[in-house]
Amino acid sequence: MPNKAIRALTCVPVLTLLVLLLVELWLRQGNPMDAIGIRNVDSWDIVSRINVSRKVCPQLALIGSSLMLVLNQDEHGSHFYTGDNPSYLGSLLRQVTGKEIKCINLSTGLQMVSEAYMVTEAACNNPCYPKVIIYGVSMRDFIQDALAAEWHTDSFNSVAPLVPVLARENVFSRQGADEFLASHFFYIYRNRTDFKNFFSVLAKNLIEIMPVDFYFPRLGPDHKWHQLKEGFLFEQWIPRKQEKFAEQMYHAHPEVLRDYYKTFQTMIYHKQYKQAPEVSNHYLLKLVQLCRRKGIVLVLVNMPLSPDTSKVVPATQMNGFRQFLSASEKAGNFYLIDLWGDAAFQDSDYKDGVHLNFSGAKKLADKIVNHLQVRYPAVLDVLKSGEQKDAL
Amino acid sequence: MLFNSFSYLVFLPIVVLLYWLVANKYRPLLLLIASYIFYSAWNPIYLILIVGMTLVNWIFGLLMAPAVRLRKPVLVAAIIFNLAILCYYKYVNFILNSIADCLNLLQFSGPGAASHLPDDWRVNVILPLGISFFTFEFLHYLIEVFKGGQAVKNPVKFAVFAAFFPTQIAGPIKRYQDFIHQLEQPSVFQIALLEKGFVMVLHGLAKKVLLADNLAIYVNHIYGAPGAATNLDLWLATYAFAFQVYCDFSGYTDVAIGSALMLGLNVPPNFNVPYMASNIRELWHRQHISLSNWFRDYVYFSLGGSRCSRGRIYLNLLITTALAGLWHGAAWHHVMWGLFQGLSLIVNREWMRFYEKIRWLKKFVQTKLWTVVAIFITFHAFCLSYVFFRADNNAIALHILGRMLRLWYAAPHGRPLFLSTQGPLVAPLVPLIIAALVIAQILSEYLRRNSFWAKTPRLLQAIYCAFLIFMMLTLMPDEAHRFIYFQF
Repeated sequence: MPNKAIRALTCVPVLTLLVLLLVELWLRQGNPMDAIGIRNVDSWDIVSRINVSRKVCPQLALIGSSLMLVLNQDEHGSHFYTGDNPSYLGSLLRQVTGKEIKCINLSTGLQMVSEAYMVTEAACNNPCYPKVIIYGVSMRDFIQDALAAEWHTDSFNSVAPLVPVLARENVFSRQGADEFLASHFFYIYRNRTDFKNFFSVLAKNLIEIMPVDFYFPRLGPDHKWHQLKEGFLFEQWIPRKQEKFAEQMYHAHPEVLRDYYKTFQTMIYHKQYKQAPEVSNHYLLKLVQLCRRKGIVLVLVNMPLSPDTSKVVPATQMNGFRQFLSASEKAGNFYLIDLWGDAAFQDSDYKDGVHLNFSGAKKLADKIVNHLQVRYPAVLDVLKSGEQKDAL
Repeated sequence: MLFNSFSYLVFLPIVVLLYWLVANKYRPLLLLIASYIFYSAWNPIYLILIVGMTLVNWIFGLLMAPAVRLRKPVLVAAIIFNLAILCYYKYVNFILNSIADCLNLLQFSGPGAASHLPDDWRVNVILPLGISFFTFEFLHYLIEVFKGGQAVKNPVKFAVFAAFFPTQIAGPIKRYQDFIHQLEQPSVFQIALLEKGFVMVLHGLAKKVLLADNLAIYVNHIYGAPGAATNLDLWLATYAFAFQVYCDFSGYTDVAIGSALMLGLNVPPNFNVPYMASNIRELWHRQHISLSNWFRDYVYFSLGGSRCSRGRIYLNLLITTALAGLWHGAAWHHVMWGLFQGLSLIVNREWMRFYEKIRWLKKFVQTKLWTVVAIFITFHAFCLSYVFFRADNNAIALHILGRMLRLWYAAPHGRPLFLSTQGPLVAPLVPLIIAALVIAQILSEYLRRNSFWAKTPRLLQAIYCAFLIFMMLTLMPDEAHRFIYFQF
């Protein structure tokens, strides 16, 4: 090779790109920050679940927030926030259809409608994909302004590499579209907050060596955030730790969990929101269009909260939301199972007033399957047949 | 278009690639098109302004060919034209506000009237990007042509001189003789220059994103509510601001110089480790060099420079530095900042006169010990002037200065804010960052003298560059911050 060509190929810009390529390849192998317990772009492990979905080709996928993740849990509280298999729901469907129905749970914590759409796009970006999607929604998914911007959500950037690049046209905002593209192509960009969290932990530990006034807030043994020397920093608070912690608290101090989530719900429902509804409606429409295009049956479940926690939700707002869902169902966008205020769900069915415990999750699965059997048998037919459906 | 934006990271490589692919004779045109695209990315309407000013100044330059009898009137007209545009866009509301304040003071507008512009007095004008810089380049060109320099006959090359995108928005202020000469020479691709430019661009961005933007968080936290801060915090925030401005502006300059180098073009340096200066005069030979030289050549020398009586020299210094302060911002506290520089220069001159008369003192100031002391004093004097630059107005600046100078009262309200975990995360790290920057300033002269970077193997350079890119992606704020000198 001529000297000039060698010199060009070994110039600093080219070598820099090569080094960055190596880093990019390393990042694509796994999730290094999650391995060391640092909050990261894929804390909810949605990427590996979508990959499982692509291999397994389930007939049914669940999407939604942590309210739907509870369907994974067992009697010991394991997989309360993790895992991908709603085994009890699967067994119910086997009973009613007489067939083995493969189910996968693609829910993630605090999931907004934008994420639900992206997760579905990612799951469908495959020759085989689910025939039915059950989407557990709550009004929070539509109104939480802090998460209105797609790239501020937990999972938007993490699934971006799995979503077809043309989905960029469906992203609501220009910045969201740019973020999507950057995360789609470059793991270095997608994973940047992982390393930011890592450095933040280092910085906080370093700062606490200095004569500062207080320790940084950490989650203590009482499941409350205090200025503590020991405990979990926010950057170290990942779902598998949350799950273990929640189970311990549920048995030791359930009132602490309930108060915490009730306060959280109060904060969300009593805060002014401006942007989130418009963004969420946009993505709900895109989700509906995607399902129509792919012949996927979409079932929306308006998730129940405990009677005690439900009191903090403004009734007028909730009525408006339920009317909106009902109107959308009548327009043929999806099947609706409205479980809000369902008397079957008591306070004792919840771990913390928001997330169902094991028996509550079983009730939820019973309710869903019952509704499908009685009101929407066509959905079960689709599951049984394993074929796509053209339209509702 | 910001340098620290995704658009520029796409724009620059495309322009560099096209530049080296096209024939030599088309390169100035390519640069012009690229520069106008760069300028119009901010606001396409203002492209008319820079194109219009370029055309008018080009014609003015041609009209001042030696044979023309009316050279002086043409020069005067040209200067008035350029200054009028600059004053309109940059100073009209400042002038009107000042008049309103005067009228209020003299109570012409009635007792109890608020000292702000009535709405129908205020002119709604957006400051065009880089106007302070390209206007000064036009003025430099016109004055040099008047003095006997050759007018640029090629309109494209002249337009590139004014609009050259790396220096368009915030300098360095170029000298037309050097720049046009480079455009007229056939440029040959040199990979070493491309590499040097590439590293400089990354360095500049890293200074901005990693250092300036993070220091700004603490500076804004303290200067946003100085009443809540301790005196120690005010000192630390002022040091932080000094380094924020340095990192921000020198970072910008590095990107500008590096971008130009990638095109095989040299633009003047603008910084030379200014905080290592042992007196204020040396500092201004190291800080914003192109602007200092401009004011020296076209204001200070025009007023008579140092070829006058002592009193007149000092007046010239004060006028020049006051105008330099006004250039930095249309506000009286910026003028104060400029006057502070002028006073510092006067003090420096008087000090030099003083120690020249005392033999042992003259010997002592040549020692290394004195150099260290002098650097310390100069840096602190400059930092104190920055209080005027950063504070919202003179009253707040004087209040802050008063508190800072009460050294014995370092923490009247107890714990300094920077030793709190309740504020920004970066706050407790600011002393460490500043200490690191001081060490970097000390080391950089040594490293430059020993050609450290040129001797570093290319692979190591690449690993360092990749590390910088990775750290910038990781630690950059959510929204891109403008460079401080962006809208000048």
